[in-house]
Order: sequence, then C-alpha cells, then structure tokens
Amino acid sequence: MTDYDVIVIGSGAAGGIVAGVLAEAGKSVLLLERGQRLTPAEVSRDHLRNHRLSTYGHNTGPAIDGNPRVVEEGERIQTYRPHEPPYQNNAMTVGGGTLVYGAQAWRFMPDDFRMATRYGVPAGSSLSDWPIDYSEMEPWYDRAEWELGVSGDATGMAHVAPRQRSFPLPPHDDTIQRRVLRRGADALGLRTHPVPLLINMQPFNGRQACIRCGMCVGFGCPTDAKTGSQNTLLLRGLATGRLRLIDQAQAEQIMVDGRRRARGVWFHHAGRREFASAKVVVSSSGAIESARLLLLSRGPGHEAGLGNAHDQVGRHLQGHYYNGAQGLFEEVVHDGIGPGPAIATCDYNHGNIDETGRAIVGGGMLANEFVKLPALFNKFSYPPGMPRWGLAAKRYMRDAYPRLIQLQGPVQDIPSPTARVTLDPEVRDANGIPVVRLSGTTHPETVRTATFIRQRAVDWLHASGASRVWTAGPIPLVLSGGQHQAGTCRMGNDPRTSVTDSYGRVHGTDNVFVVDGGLHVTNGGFNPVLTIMALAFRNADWIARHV
Amino acid sequence: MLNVSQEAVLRAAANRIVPADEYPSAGQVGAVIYVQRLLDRDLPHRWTELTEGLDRLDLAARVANQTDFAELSSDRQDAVLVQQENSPHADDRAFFGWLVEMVLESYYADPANGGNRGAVSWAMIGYDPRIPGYEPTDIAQDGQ
Repeated sequence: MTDYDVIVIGSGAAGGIVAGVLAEAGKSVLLLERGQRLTPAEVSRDHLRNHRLSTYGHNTGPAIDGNPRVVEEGERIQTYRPHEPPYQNNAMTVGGGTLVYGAQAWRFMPDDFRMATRYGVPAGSSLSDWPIDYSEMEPWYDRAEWELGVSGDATGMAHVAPRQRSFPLPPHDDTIQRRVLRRGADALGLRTHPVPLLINMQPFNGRQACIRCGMCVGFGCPTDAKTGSQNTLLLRGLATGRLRLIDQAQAEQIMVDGRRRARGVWFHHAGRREFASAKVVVSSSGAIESARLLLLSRGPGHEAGLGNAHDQVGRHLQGHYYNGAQGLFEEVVHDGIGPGPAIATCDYNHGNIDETGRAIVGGGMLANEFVKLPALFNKFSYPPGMPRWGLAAKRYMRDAYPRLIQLQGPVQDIPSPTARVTLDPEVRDANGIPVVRLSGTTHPETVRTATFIRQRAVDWLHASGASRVWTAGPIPLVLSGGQHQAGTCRMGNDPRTSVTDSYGRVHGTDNVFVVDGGLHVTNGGFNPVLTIMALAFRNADWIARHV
Repeated sequence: MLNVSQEAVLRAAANRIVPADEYPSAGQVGAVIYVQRLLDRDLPHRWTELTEGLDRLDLAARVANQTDFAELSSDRQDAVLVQQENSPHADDRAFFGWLVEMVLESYYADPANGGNRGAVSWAMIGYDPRIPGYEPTDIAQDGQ
C-alpha cells in the first residue's frame, strides 16, 4: 500500500494540470507546492515588487531570504536572492507563474520541433529535434486551448501552425497600437494577427471577463479572468475529493529503491521533514528546480542523481533572449487598454537570412508590449542621451508615455550544453537543502538571432510612422532562463543525450516523471506556457493510462 | 534615521531631480517618506551610505557656496548636483545615481510606497490602472 497513487511536485502551469487530470482519471494525488496559495486579490499590487518589475522583491514566493542561488559569471561566483535577475526566478505559488503571467498562449510552429533538421547543428550547440513532432502535439494544444480557454483569432494564422479549429473565445477588440502597427505591417508586407491570450475576453468556465485593466502582467487578475492552472484543472482536481494540495511544502528528495522504482518523496512542511509514498512521482517544479530535485535524489544505482547517468540533468538551460525596439510617435498611441499585446507577426520565426546572405538559426515572434507601469517606463524607456533628472526628464515622461510603442519578442535560444544547473557544494537554503548553482551561457548563435530580430522591430516601428526608434546597447552573451526557463531535463529517445523519454519518464526509472518546461528540447520563438500545458495534458493522460 | 539637515538635503535634491512645473515636485509628494521607508524595509544595510552621501552633498554645497544645499537657489542646487554627477570620485557619482533612481521611483511608483501622493505622476502621464475599487493608497503626509 502506498499513501497516494501519484505525488506531483509543483503546482504551476504543468503541475496543476497534471494533478487535475490524474485526479479526474481516478487517481489519488498529493500535490506539493513550495509557495503559498494566494487569491489574485492577495497578490500585492506594489509597482516595485512584482513579477514585471522586481526592483526590491516579488509579490509571490520564494521568500527573498533563505532561498539563494549561486551563479558563476565568468571567474566570479556570486550568491543571488530571488528577485535579482541572475537568479532566473519564476513565481513560486499555487498556480506558479500562471497566477501572475501575461498569459500569451502561443503554439510552437512545426519547425520548432525539428530545429536540428531544419538548420543543422551549430558548432558547440546542443541543438536537437524533439522526439515528437507538431502533429503529435496538435490535439493537446487544441485540448489546452479549449479546456482552459484561449482568446484569439485563427483567421490569418494558418501559416503559423495548422490547427483543427479556431479559438473558443474571441480576441480582444482593437487598440490604437494595433491600428498603428498594422499600418506599418501592411507597408512591409508582414502578416499580423491578434495575440492569443489565456484570458477570458468573455465569461468562460464560470469566471468573469477581462476588464482590460492596466496592471495585468506581473499581478493577480482583478476579475480572475486570467486563466492559470490554479483556477481550472487544480479546482477540478480538488472537486473530485481525490486530490490533496499542501502548500508551503518543499520537496527535498525522491526516494528510489535501488533499482528502477521511486517509493515516495521526502518533503519539508510546517517545520517538519515528512515522507509520503506513491506509485508514481512527477516533478513539475520548473526547469531549474526540477533539475535540482533530480540531482538531489541520489541513491543506490543513481549515484549522480536520477536520470543523470550520462551527465545530462541540468544542461541545455534555455529561456528566451527578449529583444526588440522602442519607438516614439508624433501622435498619441496609448489608450491604456490592457493587457496590451494586441498585434503580432510570426513572419520572423523561421527562414531568416541576414544582410550577408547567411541563414539565421530560428527567430522569434514580435508583438507590442503590455501596458507599462510608469515606474517601469521610467527605468527602461528613455532613449539614449535623454537626461535622467531635471525638468527635461520629467517632460519626457509626460510627452513620451502616451506616444511610445515597444515591439519585442521571445527570441529562440540556441541551446548550449554549458548552460546548466548543478548543486552548489556549500550553500544551503532555509531547509538545509543544497541550492542551485547556475553556470555557462547560451550559444553565440542566439545573440546573432536576437540582433537580427531586433532590427526587424526597428524596421516595423519606422514603417508604422515612428519619428524616433532606438534599441538597447550591444546584446551580451549571457545565461538565459527566467520565467521562460526550459531544457534542463530534455526529452529524447537516447538516454546518453537526454534525461527522459518522450512522455517525460526519467531514464533509468519506471515511475519518475518530469513534466514542465525542463522537457523542452528547444523552446521555440514564443512564450512557452501553452506548450508546457499541452505537454502536461498529454503526459498526464499517458501516466493515467499506463502507470 | 535622517537628521534635520539630511532630511532637508534629501527633500531639496528631490525637488531638483523631479522639479515642480504644472505638476508637483518629487519632494512635494512624498519622496522623503519613500526613501526612509525603502531603507527601513529593504535596504537597512545602506542607511550609513545614505546619510553619509547626503552629508557629502551638503558639504559640497557649502564648499562651493558657503551655504547649505537646501538654502541655495535652484540654479545653484543644480550646479552642485551636476558636479556630483560628474565628480572625479566614484563614490560621489554612485551616490548621486542611486539618489536619482530612488527619487524617480518615489515619483512614478504606486502611492502606497510613500511617494507620488495622489497619484499625481500617473495623472500627468495619463496612466490609469483601470481597476474598480483599487484606490492607490497615500500614506502619511510629510508636510512639504
């Protein structure tokens, strides 16, 4: 007898769905979440301490103190707290990032699943095809869109990714920025469409519609119209009576029996270290923390950690190189209608050629930005040469806030095996558990792709009528992870070059799974959450039927 | 804690970093409260850096003008600030940059942080959170 059929670790985009699907399939499930369970209204609206602008902290966990990570930056080894950018944090709370995210709901394109075949493998990169292709994913994307509720307009998106039907909810209506940018796109011959969002533009699934507020990304939703795992599959799972959620419970180790079977999970909760047993253990802790947990789960036969017989756990850490440009217009281009992203092009996701005729590896979607917090605008939307203080700086804020458009997108990371998660040999967290050490950088091709995409944003803003367009300085070669973290437990058919099989089952085990962005072999040129969710539906369905 | 002259320097500097025009200056809408709360809450290890930096700013004003910073004309205050911004001493430049960023945060962040009283900067630029029932909360007045 075990305590549960399944223990799921982490309640974010993937874990909440896995737990809900398995509970509905009749399994008894324990869901452990390291963060707190918060209603959207309990998430702070502090403009300097949120997941969009985290100057002094966050509005969800982990707590600033007691949860460090160590980062190697060249020769320098530095300890960081969760709100500091090198930490590569994601929200830790029930629902994870989906409680506070911007909710862009993109499918990856077919070529995103076959990057190595399409482009070849750049020297030094671990670029690889996924073990599954788009046609395998399509039904699960469809299920995620329709069960969770995506607002969008499939008209004009056929070239992005084939789909069996449109979206269950209409896109949000026109904004000034969409009209201005469509003008430029038409001039350039770019195909554009609304940004699909996991936000109820009409009442759906028993929750209200979006009120188009100006504090969306980074915050809880005032009408709970923003759709995450916490207000969908998690609630459905809890309604079965078979799902038990424990928040503020941090997993320390998956116990294995010396052969291929996990017996359960050691975790910390309310000051105690407890053990729960299960037939199946699923880590949905996010790419960085799932890698940490596998590395912590050493045992006989798994001396280097679970799935790590070939030193693959924690490698290929990816996120996105966000890049783009900002443009000032003579006319007012701000109506303040949230969430903001209203128009996008996917014409630069693949098939790019630079000015010398050389192929670019991958690319990225470009869209206009969320309504900007004034404090954030003040920090990041001053053009080069503009003074920071004095009357001119104040007048700039007043003139520019309503006249600025930022175009940017998640540029596909070209993976590097040196970008990795390991365990720090010395530093421990508040529960005495070794913390993550991050090291390495993305592959230099990522910088080339980002440089190319940034110039496309410049062109689009000019074509739309911007009178002044600028970009940030040279794009550095750095480690990328953050809210879009992926790649550390990559799926594959060969245990020598991957951590799990194509359903997320960890190599060398029968009953340990990873289901989160860590599985992504590559991370597309899109916000990855819908892919994380679609994989969660798919893999949970498989677990329910096979284990 | 700031002493009386440090507080006067901070308020006067805030009034030059975000000066008054049709809309109030940073010092008029809570910059001093913002900075004090920020250091108490998030940066207690930087109190000495703050007080020493404000003292150095005041000293620079007295060296150049034989007058406390807060008592100088706006033009002279600006001249002292420009001097700090371009100082040959890295710690002067670093302190000035830090001070500017804190004052800007006070002016553009939500009023619950202590600055931007009445959300005046949001009205100035045309930002509206558009959340019914969410009234950005002012905190205690500091008189100026």
